[in-house]
Amino acid sequence: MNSLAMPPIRIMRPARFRPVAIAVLGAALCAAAWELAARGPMAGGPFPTVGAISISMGELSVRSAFWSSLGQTVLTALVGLGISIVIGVVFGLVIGLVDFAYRSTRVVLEILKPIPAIVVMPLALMLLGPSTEMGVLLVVFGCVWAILIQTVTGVRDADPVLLDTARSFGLGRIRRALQVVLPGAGAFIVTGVRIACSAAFVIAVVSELVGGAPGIGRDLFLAQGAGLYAEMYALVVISGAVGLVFNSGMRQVEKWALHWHPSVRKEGQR
Amino acid sequence: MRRIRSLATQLWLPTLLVVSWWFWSAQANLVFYPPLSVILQRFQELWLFDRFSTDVLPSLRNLLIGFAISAIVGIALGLLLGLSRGARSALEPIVHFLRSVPPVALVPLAILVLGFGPEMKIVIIAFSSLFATLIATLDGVRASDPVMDEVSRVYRLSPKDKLFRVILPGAAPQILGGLQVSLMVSFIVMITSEMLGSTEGIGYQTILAQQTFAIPDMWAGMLLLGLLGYLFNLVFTLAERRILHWYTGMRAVPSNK
Repeated sequence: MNSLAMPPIRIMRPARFRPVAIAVLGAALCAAAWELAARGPMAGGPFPTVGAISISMGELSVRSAFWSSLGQTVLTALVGLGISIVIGVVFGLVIGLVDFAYRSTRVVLEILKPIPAIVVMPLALMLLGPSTEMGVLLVVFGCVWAILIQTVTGVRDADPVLLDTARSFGLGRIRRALQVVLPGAGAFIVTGVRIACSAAFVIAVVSELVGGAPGIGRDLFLAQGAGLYAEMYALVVISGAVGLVFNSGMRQVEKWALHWHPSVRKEGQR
Repeated sequence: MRRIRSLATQLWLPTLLVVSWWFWSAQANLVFYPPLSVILQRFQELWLFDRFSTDVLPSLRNLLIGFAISAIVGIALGLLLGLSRGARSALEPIVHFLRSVPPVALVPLAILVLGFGPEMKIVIIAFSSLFATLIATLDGVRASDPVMDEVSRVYRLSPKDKLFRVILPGAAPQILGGLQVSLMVSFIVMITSEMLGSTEGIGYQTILAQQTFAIPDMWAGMLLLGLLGYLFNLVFTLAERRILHWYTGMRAVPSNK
């Protein structure tokens, strides 16, 4: 009855390589299943083999037009994201600090936030045509609300003791806003930016695929029209990889920007 | 009196915006910004109820069926991956990769494989909105309280009881959060699939109006889509509050640790 008195101590820790090996195995099995289906029951249909897709990816990687498309897409997403951050943080700070502004804008923000960017695409397309500017406009529309609302929440969440301390040290309104409230809201803002970052890439692709702005989304649409099946799959895989970078890259930026913040420091200690 | 004042502070800006849109657009005489009265008139003519059964209903049907499939499959797969370590380490990287593919990028593939019918739309809505629910369920199951696990073992709960009374309620807040994202993805993919490959649906009518310069019709379509996006979110938030009332209650009470 020893085991009742003492919880079993795990001495055998799973070796580090094991999860990686299983993950590789899982991916390989999925690829194999795809290959079998593409060669067997689905042969000749709209499912190219893994080999054909990889060859197409190789062909794309030596084509300069592909890289400029990819650059366009990333640029659209990043410029839109940058504009959203500036607008969101500036207006969020003001709305969060001024109670009247907060109450007045609440309903408007709550109505605008759940409207996806693709809903306003017809208008953006009408005004700006199938251009990069149209894509940037859509990215801003899709990203700005999340950042703005997070900033407002963070600003209103400011520690009252910190604010009183700052006031008793004689800090003026503007310095209090910029040096106390804004850094305090940092964690909230970064969460908003992280949500917006994943959305920015997706919206950039939408603006290209449906709206015809230059970028890999439009390449995908053109490949579909031309019946280049392997290239379509290759573009989808590549867009997944870029999306992965947009999703996880933000975590690194977060660590760098908030290295002083308790939530990040605690994580680092683990 | 205070309630009236607080209501007034909340509503003056939206009212002002709508009123100034109304009067500005009435006299602006710009092609791209038709008078709001004209937009509302077209809205009423088109959607209430001329194209209601031919466009609105198919759109909503595809959305709801697709979302329902994604919810069921997403929760089931999330539970499987959350509870089985082997399945998790084998499949989690692939799941994260597939989630990172912009959902709309899959629409051309779906058109290629399944054509332009409603099946294509339902499948692509279900597939692309699956991942938010799946990952949220997985996280919810993994973050479950270890004490709960031990207690249910001590009480020798049957696997079924444990699943429905311990694991699922414990992960419910995360699962509902995931479902909300899935619903929004479903809505976006519904619009995209109609804009790219369709001859019916609200998204198709709206993009068609834009391409044929039927500008009031385009505005009416955008108005309907915006309204739907807002309503879906609202209904979901209310449902979530009802389902999770025990959870919000629990969090509102300060824990006496």
